[in-house]
Amino acid sequence: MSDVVLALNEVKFSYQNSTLLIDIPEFKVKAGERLFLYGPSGCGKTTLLGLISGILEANSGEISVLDRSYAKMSSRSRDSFRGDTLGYIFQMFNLIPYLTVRENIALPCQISRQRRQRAGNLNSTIDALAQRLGISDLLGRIVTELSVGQQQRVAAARALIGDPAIIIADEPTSALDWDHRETFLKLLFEELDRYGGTLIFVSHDQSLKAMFPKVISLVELNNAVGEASCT
Amino acid sequence: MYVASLAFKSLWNRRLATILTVLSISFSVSLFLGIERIRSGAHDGFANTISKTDLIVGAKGGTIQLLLYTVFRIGSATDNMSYESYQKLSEHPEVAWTIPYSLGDSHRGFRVVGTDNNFYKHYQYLRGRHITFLHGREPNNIFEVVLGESVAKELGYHVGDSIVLSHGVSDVAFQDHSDKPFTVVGVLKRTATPIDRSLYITLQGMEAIHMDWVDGAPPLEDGRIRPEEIKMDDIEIEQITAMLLGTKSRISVLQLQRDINDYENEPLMAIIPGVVLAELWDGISYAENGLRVVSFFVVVVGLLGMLVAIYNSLNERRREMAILRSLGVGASVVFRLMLYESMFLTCIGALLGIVLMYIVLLIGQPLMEEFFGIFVPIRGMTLVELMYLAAILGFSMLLAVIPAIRAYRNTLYDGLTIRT
Ligand SMILES: Nc1ncnc2c1ncn2[C@@H]1O[C@H](COP(=O)(O)OP(=O)(O)O)[C@@H](O)[C@H]1O
Ligand SMILES: [Mg+2]
Repeated sequence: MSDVVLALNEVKFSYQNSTLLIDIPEFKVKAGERLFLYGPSGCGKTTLLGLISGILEANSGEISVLDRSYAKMSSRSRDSFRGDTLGYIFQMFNLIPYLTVRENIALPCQISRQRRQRAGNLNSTIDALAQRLGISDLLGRIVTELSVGQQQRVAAARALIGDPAIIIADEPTSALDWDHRETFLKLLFEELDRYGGTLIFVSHDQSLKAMFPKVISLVELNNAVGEASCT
Repeated sequence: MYVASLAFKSLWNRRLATILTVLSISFSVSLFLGIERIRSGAHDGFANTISKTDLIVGAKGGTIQLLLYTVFRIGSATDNMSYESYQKLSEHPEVAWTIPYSLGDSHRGFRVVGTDNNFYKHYQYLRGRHITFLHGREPNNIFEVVLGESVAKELGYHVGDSIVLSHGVSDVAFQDHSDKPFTVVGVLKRTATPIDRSLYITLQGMEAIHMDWVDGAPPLEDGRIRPEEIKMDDIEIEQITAMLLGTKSRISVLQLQRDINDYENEPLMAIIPGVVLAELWDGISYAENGLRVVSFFVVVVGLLGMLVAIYNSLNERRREMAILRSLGVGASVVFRLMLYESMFLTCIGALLGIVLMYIVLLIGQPLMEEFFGIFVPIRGMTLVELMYLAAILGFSMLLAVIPAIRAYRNTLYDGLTIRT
């Protein structure tokens, strides 16, 4: 296996009856990288992440994750592949409201057998992870009682459990205030270092740029002429 | 497995809506099953009003009419049959037993039946139950009367009371046989059939109260015969209204029926009670079907309530579906999740409905028997009922496909976009 965990080649995508939104000739992410992908709102960041995670299908071109090309996979196997290899953090409302914090964190291991195996003893792994992320006290709590900052840490724990190869974060810090953003990122980095995970971090907010070793602008990456705000 | 557990937790999270939905399903299911049981109880009760009687014989006329006045004490005969024919039939080699009925009088709206002791020995109802006495004994004398249970209860009569019978069967009888009062010597045990709503005297008693009547009119003062002048053995029975008979072997019933219908001495008619009962029931089965349709729609409404509840929850759950998708859950699993939820609701609702039905039956059984004469036995679930439940579950799954498809579509459309 090469050290490239994600590769896009001549990828084009448009929503139905809509203009071309994504046109990326080449884009590669190496194992262990921490990538900051910058782009203004409405430029197709979330859309790109949908393509990377195999939920959206490219009109043409090739997307491969861990050397496996989505084009050759059924949507069903893309789904389970996603469960095995990707951890996803949304901007907010990450958690399933009717599950406890612990149940939320454990959920990926119930969906993906691989992640369950990598997690080892699930309960103690969750305990340890929660300890490091400072959310030990919250494990038994109901999700709706948590602050936004707490919710995002729980979301990070859920994305990290079972060591998925790539963590995808779609503006996970934009709902947090400045202090929390930095600590959140630091915790995320520490966890990724622990098992050598890759991070693709997407945001329209450039203030966090400095913390990342590698920064890419989607506007430069993407040849498609998007909305006015993107050009 | 986690899908079922998610479905369950999600339902529990919306417990108020869930409980209301389950309750509405359980009410409709228990109503459906309960009505079905009461209906079949009514049918059984109806079909079992009389049993083990192979033929009912009367003067030629309508078959249903004959059944109505002999078994249900409704309407009256247009003609009588001779006692001679009765005796001839009793001696027929294929006939095991006979019961004579002499009708036409009443007491405060209850019919009076003149019969003999064969009635107490041979009459059967509800799959072979015999008539038994609550108090007292059979009437052995002319002016002795035995009461059906409802008669005794409603009129507050006891053994030893003296009562006066009336001529005719209209509610307001015109002529009382006040010159010849009867003494209550017995009360029958409840049968939950029209037996309870009649009074029973001897054939001689029936003859005696009319013996001084002239051309259907009461006697004048000087023509009256005083009761003490009449002796049991002096009375000769000439006519009865109808008779019931049992054969020695059921194989002979049809032949016997044909023979009676072709009887030469007088125009007689024999009916097989089961056949005419079924005919009669068919005639009123539109009411039964109406009831079925209503209870079926009650179930449909219950399930539509569930559909609405699930459908309403979909919008606020789009976010949840996007999260599940990001965790590797396929859109088809989302579809399954929605089906599981409906299945949970329906199954729990149906189970609760069964429990509810049994509770209502336990409480309602004595009342139903008391007031409607419908005996609803408390027994396990029948195969047919289980099939109904399976059909209900199947139908609810069919309905559940609607929100499931909607959720599936939303999920595909939303992808990883979290809509709030
Ligand atoms: N499901 C969809 N169908 C059609 N158009 C969409 C859909 N989702 C997003 N878009 C459009 O695609 C463009 C990019 O959206 P998005 O990828 O969410 O941008 P970003 O995440 O950078 O803000 C926007 O113009 C948006 O309106
Ligand atoms: Mg976005």
